[in-house]
Amino acid sequence: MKKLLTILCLTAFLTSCEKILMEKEPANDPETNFQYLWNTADEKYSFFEYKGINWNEIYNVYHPQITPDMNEYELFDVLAAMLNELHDGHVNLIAPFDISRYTFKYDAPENFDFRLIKDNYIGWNYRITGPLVNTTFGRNGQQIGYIYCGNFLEPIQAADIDFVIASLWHSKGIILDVRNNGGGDVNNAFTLGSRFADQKRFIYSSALKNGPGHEEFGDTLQVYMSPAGSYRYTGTVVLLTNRGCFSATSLFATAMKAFPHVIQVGDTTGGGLGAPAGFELPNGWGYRFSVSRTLTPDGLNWENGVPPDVTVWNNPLHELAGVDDIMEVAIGIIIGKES
Amino acid sequence: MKMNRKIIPCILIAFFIVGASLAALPHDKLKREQRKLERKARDKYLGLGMGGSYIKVIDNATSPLLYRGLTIPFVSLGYLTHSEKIIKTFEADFSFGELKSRTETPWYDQRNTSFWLAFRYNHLFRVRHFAKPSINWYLGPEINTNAHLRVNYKYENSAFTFDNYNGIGFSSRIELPFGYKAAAFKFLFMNLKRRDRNLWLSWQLSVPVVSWMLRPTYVTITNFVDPELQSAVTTDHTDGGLFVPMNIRSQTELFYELHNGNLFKLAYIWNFYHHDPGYNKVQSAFHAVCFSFVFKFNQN
Repeated sequence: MKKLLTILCLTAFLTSCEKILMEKEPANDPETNFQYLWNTADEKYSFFEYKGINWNEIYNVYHPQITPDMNEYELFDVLAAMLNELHDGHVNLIAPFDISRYTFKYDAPENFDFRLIKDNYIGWNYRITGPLVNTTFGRNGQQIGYIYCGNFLEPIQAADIDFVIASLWHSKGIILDVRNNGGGDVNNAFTLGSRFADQKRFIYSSALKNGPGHEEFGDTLQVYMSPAGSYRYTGTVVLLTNRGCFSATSLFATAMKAFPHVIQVGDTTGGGLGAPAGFELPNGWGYRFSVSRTLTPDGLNWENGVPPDVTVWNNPLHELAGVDDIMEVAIGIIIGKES
Repeated sequence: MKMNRKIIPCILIAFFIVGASLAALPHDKLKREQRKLERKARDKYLGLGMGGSYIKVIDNATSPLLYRGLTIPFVSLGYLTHSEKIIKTFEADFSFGELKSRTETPWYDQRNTSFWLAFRYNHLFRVRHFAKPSINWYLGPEINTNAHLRVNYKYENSAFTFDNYNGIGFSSRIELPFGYKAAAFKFLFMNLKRRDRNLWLSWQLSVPVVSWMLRPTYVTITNFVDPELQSAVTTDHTDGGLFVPMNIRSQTELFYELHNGNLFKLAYIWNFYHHDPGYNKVQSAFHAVCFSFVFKFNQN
């Protein structure tokens, strides 16, 4: 009996050691939450140097605003304001009662009105194939294909893009409109882009943060896009972008720039080429920010926006008259190309 | 952070452990025949058990908070070869459930869904008896892998976090057989007979010598801007060495022998691991209680 009890006591003793071995959770107070957020961003955010942000200076601005007796709404406002100093659409603080976001200051018009496109270019009898609006319309006796992809959240199935490409196969050229596409799943961007690829091409390189230093990144990976699928289109493709193109759409635009038959027309995209990762504060609030950087094959960083090959802004007066200047330039490029 | 030169002595020690075990095999033909007969005489069992487990984990990769919860069911499948001189065990455990933190608000917080899978093989040799001849102490090598996958969509792209511990080490086991002799007794107004009852209690402690851990990267995500790398495992995911990551396992089992040779087994398992390569520290404590039917499938 004694030996039985000895064994059982040994077991209990060992398991109770975990109270000593496991570290204690941090306190849940404004100061601890502030320090945790500032330190994690300091170690893992990827664009301090690129954006010229002095994170220590920002600490000195916002830390004095933290008081022990502030309520959660006041704490949220201070932490959100601090994160907005990163000027990054991939940065959010998520509380049960609010989500912080960086509001892009559009120094440009919207440059997109889908109602205008329907009324004056493609009509209302277009097809919706998966997430892809698609149709053809005529201009100067030529058939021009039009695809609108409004988001990369919805999966693009192989059958969807097979149908769309097959439908637009005999077009003089295709207008691929991704204006106001706020991004989504990179896989969808690759599914769509690979159907316009003429050959395997180096589209961009990417590196993840792998240390606490602001410029500590891991190995740079070269990313390629290859032709895929049964149906591919390698005629003239005009990619339309505006400031509403963000994240995966900016990656898509960067990738399309590698293909010589694709021309980007419109406005600079909204950027957002860094991949965001998500974390949690001691009070349970979630937050996310960019932890990687993406460079073009030439080594350029387009985090602040992918510039078009042809910059065009819609004239508001023209829009009132039912004219989308960006579309007109795209149509002109296609019609002007030799067959 | 990458595996560096410290893995070379670990690999050498792992080879030493395996080599020493192989060297202990007899080369003499007569001894080999004797060993063959001894192996045939060992009792062989297959066990299937169910129960519940309780997991506590702090994963600094995504959160400083302690997540804990009851994960039911806990399922265990085991193969046991048992004799006075040798014990061989192969076990596979699985549990699934949800973990919560102190801050959870039901309408807001996503649960942390936990999947636990463990495989373990040990080959123990009797070292000595203790005070009484019937108490045996066994010692031998153990190979152990356990994987804990957690899914929490609150972390968006960092939703999947995991710890996959792999180790070669030593396991020490004490076995204490005991029993009750047949007796007749009265309970209330009933005359009852109690048969001979044979039980044994065992306690096994396992510690690593060489181990390595598979964890998320420094920033928790893979470089998913390249679809081909979305589930790639790179050196950024791994870290290992001598004695760390630390993984300790204690298993207390009570076997009750039935008259047909089968067994009932009640087990309490405690597994603790800790890994801190300088960032994204993870600590986990795992408790499980399992009741098993253990079937004897040899004729001895």
